[in-house]
Amino acid sequence: MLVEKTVFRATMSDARLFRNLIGAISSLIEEADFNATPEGIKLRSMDPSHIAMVDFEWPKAAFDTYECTTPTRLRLSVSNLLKLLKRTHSDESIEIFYDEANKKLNITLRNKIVRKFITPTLEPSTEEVPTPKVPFSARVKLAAASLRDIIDDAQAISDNVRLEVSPDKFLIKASGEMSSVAIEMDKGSDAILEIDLRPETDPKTGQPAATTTPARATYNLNYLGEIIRAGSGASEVTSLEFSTNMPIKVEFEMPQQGRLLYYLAPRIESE
Amino acid sequence: MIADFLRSVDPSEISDATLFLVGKPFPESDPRVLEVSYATISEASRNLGQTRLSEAPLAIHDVFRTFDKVSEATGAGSRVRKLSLIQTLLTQASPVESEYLVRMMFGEMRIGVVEGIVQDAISLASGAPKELVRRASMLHGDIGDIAKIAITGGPKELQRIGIHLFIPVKPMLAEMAETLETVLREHPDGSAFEYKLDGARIQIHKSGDKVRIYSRRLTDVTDSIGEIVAFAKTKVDASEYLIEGEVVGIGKNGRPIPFQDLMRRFRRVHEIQAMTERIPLKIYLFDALYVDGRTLIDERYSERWEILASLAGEDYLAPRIVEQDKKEISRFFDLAIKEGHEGLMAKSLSSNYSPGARGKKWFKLKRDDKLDIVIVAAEWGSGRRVGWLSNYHLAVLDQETGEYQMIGKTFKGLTDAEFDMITKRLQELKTHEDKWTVYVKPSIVAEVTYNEVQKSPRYKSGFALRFARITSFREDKSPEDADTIQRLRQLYEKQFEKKSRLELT
Repeated sequence: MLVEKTVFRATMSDARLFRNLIGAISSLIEEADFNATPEGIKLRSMDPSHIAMVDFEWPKAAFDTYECTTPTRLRLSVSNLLKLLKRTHSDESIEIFYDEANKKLNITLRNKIVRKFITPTLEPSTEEVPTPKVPFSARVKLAAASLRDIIDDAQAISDNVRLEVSPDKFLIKASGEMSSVAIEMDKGSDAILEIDLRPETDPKTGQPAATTTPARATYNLNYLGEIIRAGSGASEVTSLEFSTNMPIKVEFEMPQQGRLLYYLAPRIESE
Repeated sequence: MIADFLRSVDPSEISDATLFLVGKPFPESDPRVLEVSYATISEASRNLGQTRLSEAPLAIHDVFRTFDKVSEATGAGSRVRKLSLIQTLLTQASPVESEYLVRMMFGEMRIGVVEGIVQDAISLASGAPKELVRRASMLHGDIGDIAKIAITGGPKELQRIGIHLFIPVKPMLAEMAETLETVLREHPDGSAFEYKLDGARIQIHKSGDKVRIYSRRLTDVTDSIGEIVAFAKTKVDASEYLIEGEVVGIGKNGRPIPFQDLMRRFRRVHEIQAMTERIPLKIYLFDALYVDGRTLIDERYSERWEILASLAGEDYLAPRIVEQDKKEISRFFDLAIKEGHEGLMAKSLSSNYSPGARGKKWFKLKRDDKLDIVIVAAEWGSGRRVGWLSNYHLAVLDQETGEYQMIGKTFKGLTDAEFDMITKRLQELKTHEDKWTVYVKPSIVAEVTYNEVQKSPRYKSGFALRFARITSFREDKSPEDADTIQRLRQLYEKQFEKKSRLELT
């Protein structure tokens, strides 16, 4: 009998951790290519309307065991995958195995009983998603849970949120048809870990401006809300980076050199 | 040009591209609907400003994927979800693209006219004869699929499209006959005259235990008319069939109930049981299109009738005579009217069944004092009717331009409950308004009676109805089915020929 070599197999002792990671991707993306290499798993994908992007990296070291002989692209329905992972219990370990011959992903959950789910993979796309080249003038690092509260407040009022960073303050404003909300966080606040503001970069020359001005931009809360909610389930610390009317980068700190970050294009108000 | 385009698109995109050309978010036989109000669409297009991380052109797949999601959004919060989906879609579109997308979502591309041209293009692109393409698309109900089959499979594959149970077939339609002479002249092989029943036309599909019933507009109405399902299962002697008939609601006095009361049954989702008791239904069958593996649409009418009559008892067949004698036919016509029906259908004995086609093989003979009009605008009422949109602008279709032209106004004929209902619906259909008048997308079809057609310089149509009064709302008809300015012209001419008019009434 011919023994097939393992193309990809990985295990983690806490299945829930993996579930939270997939949950963080599923909010924006329905189908995505997971790139498995000997170094780890990477995923970078735009949402269908090209308004937001997720960039995710989970290195070999973050798994308990990890085996990948050939770089492999696995296209999966993220919502379908999450549906299976929602079945995980606490104290379960997870094994992910790619059955190359049948083009199926096998997920085995182990505790007292062993449960094996099998799900099909899809035809990988050929599209490469580039990293947006955006200069950032403002950077705020804060507790993910606090940011989540703030975003929920704003979403109760409006579809959009305006963020403003000045040298010593982070200001969040949302106004709807009837009500509005303004949330101010000083540099000294417990929730804020870091505020940093540099001069804006001139888009034509690429040179920094002579003076530092507050960074202001507006983002759609349907997207930003999903991003913050998803990320705060997988991480405790968030950093936001943006500049006036430019995309925002939302990064969640991950253990073991893992990476979870999002980009979101701004709304430009015409009036 | 369209043919070149269809040939050039990727085979996987042919069917979506074709649907786009005819301006439909979903194929005709598909029960999904977008259900977005004009207010939502205009809010979405006003509220743009979302930028993107990278510019990728909008692909046709993405458009239809969005439509699918919009149709899936139901229940609490669905308006917000639809708004956000449409906003996302319009964000990706160029200004020209958004213009067409908005028109498509609002159903404003000129259907009918366009569909014919697209069929011609499919024929040109695939080398299949026009008649074959037309027939296939009427039978199949999804012109997108037809385009794909024709272009990738050629005429041979198209030829294989027959009747498929549970895919509704576009019903064959009748032309209006102004006189009985016209009928006798056009049907040299003889005609059958059936009651033109005042009910709702349906088609029943059955295979084994499965029964689905579709309305004239191909909507699935199975669940609202349980007793007809029971009838289909027990009283028709065939295991597989597609038959057509008219459902009539029977009032206490044994006469048909007004049409809009019957339509209440069709729209009913809740309390079906209660309605079943209040409005008993009766079915009158009049055609058989498919029976036990045999497609009958190419058979003669007389043959189809015979097959139908062998399946179901005479009680369930539309009252009918085969007759040449004008006196006898007039008597039968009067009888139909007396029993509360609309008039007669005259069907050529030698004719085949042409799905979706309106022609001279079938004629309708109606009392000519009723018209199906479309409401294009309404004025806010005063006095007792304050708070209602109560003075309706009535219009008919100009077949040449596809426009709806006004022929009068009326506020007569509605109950308070109907004023309520129509006011609500008109507001959903609003396109714009001024101080007194709300202008709407042509959608609501109503039957009106009137006293006379007059020449009128006030309206662009050149005609006005005298003493128009709304008698019922025709939920089963789409605006393209409304009466036409061409017919109005004929009616006007005819008022001077009392003789022929007497013939029919």
